[in-house]
Amino acid sequence: MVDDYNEKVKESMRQEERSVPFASDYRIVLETKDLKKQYMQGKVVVHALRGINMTVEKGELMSIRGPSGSGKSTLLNMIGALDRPTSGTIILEGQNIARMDKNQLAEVRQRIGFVFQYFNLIGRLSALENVQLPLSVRGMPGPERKAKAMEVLDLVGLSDRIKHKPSELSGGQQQRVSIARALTQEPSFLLMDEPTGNIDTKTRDSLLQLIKMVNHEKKITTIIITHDAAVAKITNRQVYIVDGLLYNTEDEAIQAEMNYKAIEGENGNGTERKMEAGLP
Amino acid sequence: MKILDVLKYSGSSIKKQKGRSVLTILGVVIGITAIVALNSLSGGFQVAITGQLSQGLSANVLTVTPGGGFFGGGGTTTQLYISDVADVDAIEHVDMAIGVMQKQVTFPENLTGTIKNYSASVTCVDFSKYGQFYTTFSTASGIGSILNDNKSIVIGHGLYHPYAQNDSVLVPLGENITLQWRNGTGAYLTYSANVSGVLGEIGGFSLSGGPSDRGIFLPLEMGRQIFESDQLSTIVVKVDSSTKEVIDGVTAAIRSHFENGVSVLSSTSLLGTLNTALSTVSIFLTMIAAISLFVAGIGIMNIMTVSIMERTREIGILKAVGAKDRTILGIFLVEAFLIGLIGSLIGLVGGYVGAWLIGKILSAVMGGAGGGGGFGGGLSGGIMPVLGIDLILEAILFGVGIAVIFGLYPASKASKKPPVEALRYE
Repeated sequence: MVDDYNEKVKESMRQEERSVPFASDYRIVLETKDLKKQYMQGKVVVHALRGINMTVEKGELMSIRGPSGSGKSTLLNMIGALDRPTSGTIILEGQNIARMDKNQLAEVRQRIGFVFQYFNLIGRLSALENVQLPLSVRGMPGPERKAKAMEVLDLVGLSDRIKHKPSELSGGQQQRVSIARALTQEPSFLLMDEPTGNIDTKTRDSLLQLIKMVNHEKKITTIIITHDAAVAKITNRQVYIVDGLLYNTEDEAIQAEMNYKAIEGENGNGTERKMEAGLP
Repeated sequence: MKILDVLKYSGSSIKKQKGRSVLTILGVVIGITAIVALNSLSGGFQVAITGQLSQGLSANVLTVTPGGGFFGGGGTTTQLYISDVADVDAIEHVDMAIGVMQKQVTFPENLTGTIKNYSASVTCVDFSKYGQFYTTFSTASGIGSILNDNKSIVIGHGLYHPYAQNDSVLVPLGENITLQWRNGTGAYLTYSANVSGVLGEIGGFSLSGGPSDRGIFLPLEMGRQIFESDQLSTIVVKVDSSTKEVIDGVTAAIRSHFENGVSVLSSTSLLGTLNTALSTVSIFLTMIAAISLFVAGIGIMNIMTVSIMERTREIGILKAVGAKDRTILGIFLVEAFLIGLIGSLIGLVGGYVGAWLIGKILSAVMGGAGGGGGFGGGLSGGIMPVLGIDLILEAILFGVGIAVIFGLYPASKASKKPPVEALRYE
């Protein structure tokens, strides 16, 4: 399988000029190798990611769980092509995006469907216009764009709310609009950052069902980054991030967290890092 | 992103921020209104003045007056005499030259006795030649006729029907009028002559030597006798060509004949001087107006900077859905462009309407004062502001240019925001 994959990578490197490979060509959508990110906070170097190795297969519904400060958001920024890592590789459908420039990254983001905790819809635009935005940015003509947007709005069950502005929609509905927006550009994968973090528990369940349904129906790779065990539970695969490293089982993660706390205690820097609700 | 989509997107943001957009646009409107009003009005002035100046004055006519130069330069002043006319006439390219003698006189009183001691200027010329120089020296639209009998006199329309005198006739046609003046020793002399014609209304200005509404015209020979003088105030010269070379050549020849003691003016040089003066004033006023547009530009920059800060998250969203820096730059520049365009268009209409109103007011004021002299009959046609296609384009280009240039800095700042930071912005 690994050889198979390597062949794919080589093949795509030979065809570097073909900048956007066909999504269907790749069984492995995303792979990171020894991904590291450091940044300066004042005069202190923060090692946010300390060597992340992960592989995401096509059609997967997976979650990355971790408490705040674990490096979750940094990882999201890296695989979402919003920022560049300090070292390591990020292979998105055979293309290493780790060393791309601003414009190339922008093009890569056209293949990623973001769903944010705070919805991030544009307030003055209607639901339909918001959903069309990624296509409009890509220069797709109006009628084609509208048809695609209508289709995904129908899928998320909002075909009767297309003219509504975000302020006229409930939290759950707004998040449905943002899922529709992420889907409309037929992305390589959906990247969700605490998708239910700003939604009441009752609405949360139906939204999670929607995410499951979309993954199933559209066969679309979905990565959910969350601290919430209830959210992670709906996914087929759960990985854990603690202090900038990824763990495949919860036990490993708990062990790592305890070690981490112990080291911090020894150093006596006194930083209280509470485990969030998700990790016991 | 397609340009139409960018326009729609930017337009929606301008619409969303109504109050703020209106204020920003207002800045551009004021600047463009001022520029358009001043320019179209000064254009209208130019048309009105040159139109009236060139009335009845051909390009190939030169006027020679004693004194060095238009601006009082040149030391010595050479007097002109009737005998000089023949000398000037002999210069190459000179078609015809006539002498004009001008004197001030008073009417002791008119026939009905309602007007006393009315003063006017007398122009003594050769009637048969004068009409060939000035088409306005004609009774075609006036009354009576010009008789070449060396006895009858002709008067301007303003004397027959003077504005300031409640329509009472000052000089009746066919009657003898009495002119009174002082001679060199201070004694009063009088002379009576028959009025044979009244000129059509001329309006506007009178050039030195040219006919005017308030003039009295005597045959030159008669003037010579009654004023006991050979001295001319002007020699009017007609040149056989109106090319610049010929006019300049003749001008130089006349100057050197009188040893630079005279000034020679052509209608074109006079118009040129006036136009230059008007353009200078217009440029000066435009610069003042441009300052207000500059201030508007700073306003645009200020408002866009604030607006971009408020919309940091939106920039982040756009970047997250794959917008490149140049797309963001485009969106914000188009916003500035739209503000400039809307402001310029409103300013164009506002400026023209403003200029039209000012023109109306000015011509009403001047028309009333016109009877007193100076502007003669006043700018009777009114001042119509001139709004040419070049002024329209300049105004739009200027308004849009200012908006875009001042929008460039905030827009480029917006486009360069890193997506992670922009998305994190609260």
